This record gives sequence, structure tokens and C-alpha cells, in this order.
Amino acid sequence: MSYIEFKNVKKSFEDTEVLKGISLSIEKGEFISLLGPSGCGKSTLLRCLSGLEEVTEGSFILDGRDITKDAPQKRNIGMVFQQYSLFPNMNVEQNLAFGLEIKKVPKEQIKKEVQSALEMVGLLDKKKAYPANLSGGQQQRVALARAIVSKPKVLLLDEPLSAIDAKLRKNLQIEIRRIQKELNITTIFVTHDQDEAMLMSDRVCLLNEGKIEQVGSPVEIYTNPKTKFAAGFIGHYNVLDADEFYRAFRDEKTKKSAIAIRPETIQISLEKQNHENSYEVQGKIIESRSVGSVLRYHVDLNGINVRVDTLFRSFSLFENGQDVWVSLEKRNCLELI
Amino acid sequence: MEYLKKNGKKLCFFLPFLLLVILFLLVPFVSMVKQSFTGSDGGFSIACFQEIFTKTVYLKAIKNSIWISIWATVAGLIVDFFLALSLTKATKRKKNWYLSLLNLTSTFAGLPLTLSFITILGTAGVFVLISQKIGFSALANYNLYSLNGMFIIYLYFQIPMGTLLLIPAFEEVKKEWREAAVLMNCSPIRFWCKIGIPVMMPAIMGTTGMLFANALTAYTTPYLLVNNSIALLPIKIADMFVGDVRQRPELGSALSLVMLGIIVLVLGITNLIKRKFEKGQSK
Repeated sequence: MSYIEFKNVKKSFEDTEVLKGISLSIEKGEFISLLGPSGCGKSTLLRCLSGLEEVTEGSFILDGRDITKDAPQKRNIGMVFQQYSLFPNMNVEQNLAFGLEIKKVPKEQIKKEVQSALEMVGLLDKKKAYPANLSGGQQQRVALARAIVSKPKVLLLDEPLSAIDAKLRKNLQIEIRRIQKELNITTIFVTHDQDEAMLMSDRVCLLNEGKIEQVGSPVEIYTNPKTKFAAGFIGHYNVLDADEFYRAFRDEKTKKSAIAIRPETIQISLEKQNHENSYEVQGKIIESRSVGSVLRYHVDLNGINVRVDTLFRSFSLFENGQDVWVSLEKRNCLELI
Repeated sequence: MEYLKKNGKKLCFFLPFLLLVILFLLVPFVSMVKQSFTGSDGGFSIACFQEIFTKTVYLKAIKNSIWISIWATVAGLIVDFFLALSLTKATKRKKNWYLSLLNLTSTFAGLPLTLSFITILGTAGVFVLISQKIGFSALANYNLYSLNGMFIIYLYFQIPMGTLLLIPAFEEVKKEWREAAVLMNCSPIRFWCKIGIPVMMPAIMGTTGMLFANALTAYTTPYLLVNNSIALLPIKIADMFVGDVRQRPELGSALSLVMLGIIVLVLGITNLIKRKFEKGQSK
């Protein structure tokens, strides 16, 4: 049996069904991300597990015990919220000690635990500071320390980095992962940012409209999306239905509903390459745009717009309206369900 | 000169307001201070203040006014707190409806309010008569024309004002704090004692000052109900300016200054508490 099990979890708000039967198993010490667009139910699922929302149907098993009906405080779960949830009238030290004081932990031990949690997030020198005097990143690190100080069985992170600027965000992603590994704490991380999920997670659970689309390791999800949604959401795949694929690459009609092609697996050149096991068709550059070190082309293939990513190098520069040859290895065409 | 050239336009807009403040606030205040320190011979004197702090009637008026204002403020705050708290849990529609009701009742004061209370709780008030018939002694003997009896009207006009002032403070108490506290096994009472109320304390103290000043300066209601049968500061002050027997504007001014002093003292205390709780909460 897995450490955490979601068994057919359903949640409705009045007439709207937000979670439509989620079943998922999570192992001890695993870092799993719930990834999906806004409104897909990822935060609701997290809140249901924490007990802050009641489920309409289904159950949660944590460490072999059914916790579905337990009050939030009985579940031994730590949580970091999307927005800063530190108590503003307490300094950092008091914020961390608050939960331990309620648990009636001896004062000396509280001091030790708080010290060690603050050391872990690198904010020992800020223990007397009030939340208003900390930056957004520091506040979230304190919130993380507060969530782990009582040694919960599971750590829930509800988009904790969404309000933090890009540079600091990268550092915090690495820091959160380091702390999680150090404590070997089972962690569920909610995010709508696929790069963040890919970078931090052991496994990614992709959610859409209250249902799981795909669960797998970041590499697995990136290289082998199973559904149209997964292909579109992860890695900006070109998703062509059978008819469009036939028109673009002049191939026989596929029986599958759609084909996904990663933009970086398509090559463009001025002359035909005659590669084996590849599609080679002529097209016209519609638009080119540089995205950092990548040049993104939009190529018209017989009326079908296909995105192609190449490295930004002088010999791979093409102009708008230029006729080009497009080459695609057949093994890079992923058939979707 | 250069300053005038630079800020001339801004000063033009500011001037009418400044004029208003000078004419209707500063001049009356200075005149009141001057009058209160004027003796019968027209020279400087503290006789008025000596009279106020030695004569029983004025001391009683100060004591009664402070007593009713403190209780109306404390009781009003308690009721306001729970009303505003309940509003945080209400739907938007219910909240809007209730806010309209509060706005309406906050303007329902003075003469119409007092007459309404006389109709229901006066000597021949509806509730009093019904209570006498059914033998409900608590209400049957209700005396609206006493300090204790008047308290209910004071409470009535404190509730809408206090609730309206406290609602924004409740909105400052974030849902995430409550949820984080719940996960730490913190009871609702502990949450409000340790987090909610301390965070709201600056707003609560601001409201306390407003409610106290509102109660202390209330004039129409006590004038209509008890007139001079119970000594109260606002009635005594009015008597000195428009009284039928003998007008003593210098004593009225001194009483006004005493009233102002009490308000300043209360606002000072509330500000001190406010600052203590504000510590660390804002940058």
C-alpha cells in the first residue's frame, strides 16, 4: 500500500463538480506536483486532503489510516499557502513557535525546533523580524519553516511561489527541493507552471477539468504525452488531428485521433535532406521570432501551421515568405489517445 | 514668492478649505478657550474650572457622562464585534442588504429615534404596557427616563456606527491565517485572542475613540428624555449658552473644554494601545 492514497475523490460546489473522481497513489518521501491550468481543481484537491474542504465522495488514506472524516488538525499535515499566511502580529520566531505551543511542547524543545527550522531555510538572523519587514521570498521561506517545524507527515504547497519574481523563484524552487530531500518529507506541490513542476518533481500529476490526464515522471510526461491536453500543456507540442497531419505531411490517414510533434524535433533546410524513415515536405516560413536562445518559426505546410524550434545560429536563419524543406523523423510523431 | 508661483494653483484649491477651518473651527475654539479663562471682571481667571471641579452638580455631570459613555462604548463594541464577524460569513447579497440597513439606522438618530423609543419603552410605551398586562416585571417597570434606561438608546445609535467601522477591519483578517491556525490545532477562541483581535486592535481602538466621543457628546436624546433631571455634560453646556434662567457662556466654554479634554484623554489612551499593537504589523 502506498503512503498516501486518493480513492475516487469527488468534490462539488453546489451544482459544479470540481473534482470528478481522482485516484492517485503517492509513495513516502516522494515529491509530486499537481499541475494544470487555473480552475482544474488542483488547489481544491490539496485543500480536501488537508481537511480544509470536505470531499463529496471518495476517501484519503494516509500512512494506512483513513483520514477522510478527520478534522484538519488531526491529520498531521503542514501547509504553505499561495498568499502570505504568516501571522502579522507575531515575529518569525513566534510564528514558528505558535503551533508547537498549542501542542504543549516544552519551551526548551520549542526553542530548539524553531532554531533548527530557521537554520534550514537560512533565516536564523531574521527570527525577531516581523512579516511586514520581510521580502516576499523570505516570507514564504518562513511559511515553509512554520509548516515543517511540527514535523508533519505530509507537506502541502499550494502555489507558494506564484507571487514571487522570476529570479528569486528559481532559487526558492531549488531550496524547497533541497529541504524536501533533506527531511525526506512526502510533498505535494500545486503549480500551473510546467517548468516549475518539471524541475522540482519526482512525478507530475497533470490535471484538467477535475480529472487526471496523466501521471508520470517529468521526462515521461514531456517525451510521451498521452492526450491532446497533455501534449498541448506540456512542451508546447504541435497537436494535429489525423486529417491535418495527412494534409501537412502527405502521409496516409492515421487511425489515431491526433498526432503530437515536439517543435524541436522538426528540422528545416533549404534543400531536401533525404533522411530515412522521415517525412520530408515543402513549406513556407510564415513568421519567425526569437525566444532567448531559440528561434521559433511558424511554417505553412499545405495550409497547416506548424511550429518549429531551432537553436539561434546564423546558418539556421530563414526569412519570412522563404520556401523551405521540412524534415521530421517518423518516430517523433506521437500518437495520442 | 517663487513658492507662490510654483504652488499657486494648488493653494487656490486649498484656500476655501483653510478659510472654512479658520472660521468654523479655529476661531470658535480660540474664543472658547479665551472665554473659559475669563473672570467676571473680564481678566484672566481659572474660576470657571475651580467651580466645575468643586461643585457637585458639574462633577456629577462629568461622572454621569463618562459612565454612560464608557458602558455604551463597551457594550456597543461587543455587539458590533459579533455583528461584523457574522457579516464576514454572510453571502454578498445578505451583506449588501445588511449594510443598507446599517446605513439607514445610522442616520436614524436624535428626535425621531427618541420619540420611537418613547413609543415603545416610555411610561406608556407599547412594550411596557404589554409587559404590565402579562406580568413581565423586567420590562413592566422599565424607566426610560433614567441614566440606566437611556443606555438602550445610546447602545442603539452606537451599533450601526461601530459595525460600519469594524467591517473593514474584519476583512483584513485573512482566510489563510485562520486556515493555517486550524491546521495547527488552534481553536477559534485562541485564534481571535492571539491573532484576530491583536491584528484588528488598531481598528478596534479607532472605533472605541469614535464611539466614546459619539456617546459623550450626544445631546438631543438625553435632552428630550431627562432634560435637567439627570446631570449630563452636553445638557449643562447647552444650558450655559441658551438656558432659560441665567446664561454663563464662560462656564459653558470651560465645560466644553473639560469635555474636549476627556475626549483627548480617551483618544490618547486608545492611540497608545493602537501603537502598541501596530508595532511590527506595518513597514
